[in-house]
Order: sequence, then structure tokens, then C-alpha cells
Amino acid sequence: MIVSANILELLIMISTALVAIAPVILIFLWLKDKKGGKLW
Amino acid sequence: MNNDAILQASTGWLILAIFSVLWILLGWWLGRQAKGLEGFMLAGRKVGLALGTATAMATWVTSNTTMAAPQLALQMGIWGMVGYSLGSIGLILFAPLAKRIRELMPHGFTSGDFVRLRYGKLAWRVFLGISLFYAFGWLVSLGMAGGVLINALTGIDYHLGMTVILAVCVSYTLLGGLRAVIGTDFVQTILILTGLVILAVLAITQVGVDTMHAAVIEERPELLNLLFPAAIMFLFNNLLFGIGEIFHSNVWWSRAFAFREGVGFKAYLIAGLFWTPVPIVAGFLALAVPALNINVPAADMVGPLVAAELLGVGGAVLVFIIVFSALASSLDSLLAATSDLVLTDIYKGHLFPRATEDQLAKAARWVILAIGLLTWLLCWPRLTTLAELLYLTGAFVASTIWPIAAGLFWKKTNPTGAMLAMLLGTMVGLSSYFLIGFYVAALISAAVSMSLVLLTTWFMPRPYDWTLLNTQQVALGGERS
Repeated sequence: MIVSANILELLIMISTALVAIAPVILIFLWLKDKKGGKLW
Repeated sequence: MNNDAILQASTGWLILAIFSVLWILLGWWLGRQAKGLEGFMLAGRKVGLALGTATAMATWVTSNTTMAAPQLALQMGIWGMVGYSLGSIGLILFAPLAKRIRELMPHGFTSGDFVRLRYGKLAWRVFLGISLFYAFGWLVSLGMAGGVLINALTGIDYHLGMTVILAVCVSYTLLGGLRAVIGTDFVQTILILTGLVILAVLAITQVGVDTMHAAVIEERPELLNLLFPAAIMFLFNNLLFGIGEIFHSNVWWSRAFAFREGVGFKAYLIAGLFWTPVPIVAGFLALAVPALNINVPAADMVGPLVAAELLGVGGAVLVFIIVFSALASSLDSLLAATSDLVLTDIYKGHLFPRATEDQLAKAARWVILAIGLLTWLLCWPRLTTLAELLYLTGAFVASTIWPIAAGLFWKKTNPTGAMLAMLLGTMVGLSSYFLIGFYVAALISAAVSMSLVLLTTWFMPRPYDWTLLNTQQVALGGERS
């Protein structure tokens, strides 16, 4: 049962996109916490 | 010296110097506002969602995630990466536990506090044995990994590299406690994730997934086989090992206590979801090996080799920064959480029960220093068998999954059953490690532990008063004087 090139590409693309979004979300949350005085 | 190193030692020293100064200064700056014992150990119990999510992610992204994920992909193919990414299940499942811990124990300090108050002193001592064995196994494996990776990447002597990384982490944890750890974790998370995305995009654009797939099919088709037996066994063992590590370890409990009310559940859930793709992104680089026709002398160096092939020296520098950040973010967390456990449950709980909060605040620094020194001594001989200790800990930690979860949510969990579950689960798990293999140790340990908790609770239920966990007087390792 071999994984096709399309499935492999889908797995890699979705994973890379999620990892790329993560820092943006973290910085957004940081700014939100900072603004609300809830950082620490 | 290592003549096969990808970077020059001078470049390695420069990166080490820059980031060492950065982490120590940041730790010192953040730690200035850490007041009192709670400020130092638990960052004042008001950590917000952004820092909470980042610290959970960074701590779980170790040097193993960034270096072993490509290695596993090279050895076990697609299941190697996907199996590793299931490590996130532990983080996700800990989300409701973190919420419950914060609600039940608003004054708690360590996971040891919970076991002592919930199950009594005998179970507490069994738990401490398991928890400290695991903590030192992980600390030593991280310290050794630091020395080995720095040597492999730059040629810098193992002892020097290991000493630098331990000294840096001890320094900023000493200066700023958990605030320093969590603050640096945020920066380290951003660095690790950004670096990984750069490498992944380069691999996709320069090599292409179709080319990778075609080359793997031609040279190593088993890597893309979903029915690869060894990889499927690895997947289940890794899943249970990860859950056991997170459920019992004070690394995760101390964060549950430190997070602001209402933050724990969201922080662990988001961290788990975003952690899931990290081993896949780090791991698939290895699938480019056949297409790039790279000679890989050691499987654990496949990540840096692919990065260097794609991006030259810049790629190797990027991997070095990712690995250094991943190592530091886990080492500092483990150092802080283990010292909390030793201070609260050993120093105060067993040796000096009448110690005041001021005395404990002073002792906290000495405990961090002592643990750092002990780790350094254990790492010095570079015994590979010590690193393998971490595999053994699977049998230990998996035995704690049911006692912890049932103790937090079930009112009638039997304390003797929970203690026996940890003890016998560990013993049977260890026996299966030696008699059968490493891949069943966590599985059998968890099964024995689960059976004991369920049977004793079913036949001999012991109702518990939850309010006993919410008392400031009995927190912090024992009765206050």
C-alpha cells in the first residue's frame, strides 16, 4: 500500500502551511495579550 | 575534533556566543520582575495565552524533534514522521487536565503536591522515584545531545559544547526562574518554526515533491509503504510514551499552575495542534536524500546534510540555530521543573519541613545549580548507555497515565490501587523491555497500570474530598510550620 505522490504532496503542503501560520498566530496572540495587559 | 563537520568551528563558536549572550540577557531582563517564591517558580501564576502556548510548543520541540524526525523518516518512511507527530496527542489530551489542575489546586506548586494530597505519602514516594528518574534521564540525554550535535555540526569538542549549552541554560534559569524560561521559549519557538519553514520551502521548490516521490519509489519504496510493520509498532509506543511523559511530568504541571486562569486548556490545545505538523516538516527533508543523491554516513545527520545541500553553509547555520534553540527551550524547562520538584518535594517535603518561604526562595537557586552540576557530571563521560536510559523511562512514565487522569477526574479512585498501578506497571513494563523489546515497554506498563486502577476503583472505591487539594496550608511539600 504505497502512498501516492499527490497524497505525499498534500501532507507536506498542509503541514508546512500550518507550521508557517503558527509564528503569525503566536505573534498575534502576543500583541493581543500585551494590549489587554495579560502577557504575564 | 570532528573532520566531517559541516560548519567551521569558528562559525560554530560565533553562533554559540551570539545566542548564549542573547538568552542570558533576555533571561536576566525578564527575571527582574520575578518577586518571591511564586514569582520565581511559577512566574507569578499569571502567564497569558501567547506565552503559554509558545512555552508548551517550544518545550515539546526538542533536539529529537528536529534531528530525529528526519532520521526516522529515513529509516521508517512516512510512518516515521507521522508516528512522531502523534507525540502531540499527549499535549492535546493534557489540555482538559491543565484546566482541572488549575481549578482543583489554585495554590499547588508541583505534580508531587497532587499525588501526596490525593493518594498519600507512600504513593507520593513511588511517584517521586519515577518522576525524578525520568527527569534526570531526559536532562542527561538533552545535555549529551547538545554536545554530540554541536560536535557533529561544527567540530567543537563534545565536552566544550555540552558544557556551554548546560552553562547557558543554568545561567538564565538561575537569573529569572520560570519567567526567563517562558520568555526565552517564545523567541525560541519563533526561531525554530521560521527556520523549519525556510528549509521546507527550499526543499519543495528546489527538489519538488514529485521528484522526491519518484526517487524514493525507485530506491527505497518501503519508506512510502503504509503497511511497514516496524513503523506501525513505533507509532503506538511513541503515542503512549508521549502521553505518559506529559501527564506525570512537573514540566507540564508547573505550567498548568503558572498559567493565568482560563489559559491552560486553550494553550495546550493550540500548542498540540500546531506541534503536530512540526515532525512532518522536519522529517520529510530526509525523503529528498535519494533525489539529491546525498551520501548519509550517520542517519541522525540527515537533516543538516540535506539543509547544507540545499542552502550551502547558510542551510547548516540555520539548522544549527534551530537545534540550539530546540535544545535550550527544553533544557531550561526541564531544569526549572525538576528543581521545583526537588525543592518542594525533597528539600521541603522530606529534609526541611519547617523551611520558610524566604529560605525556600534562596534554596531554589542552589537546587538549580546543583541539578545543573549533576547533569554536567553525568554527561561528561559521554556514555551512550545513559542516553538509552530515556528509552527505559517509557516503562516508568506510562504507568502514571491512569493514576494521574483517574485521580484528577474520578472521586472514588482507590489510593492503594493507584500506588500499586505505578509500582507494578513500571516493574512489568521494565521486564517486558528486557524480555520482549523497547517497543512494548510503555504499552504493557500502561495496560497493567490501567487494569489495577480500574479494578481497585471498581471493587474498593474510596470517596475523596476535592477541597483537600485546595488548601494553601498543605501545599508546597508538606505542612507549613
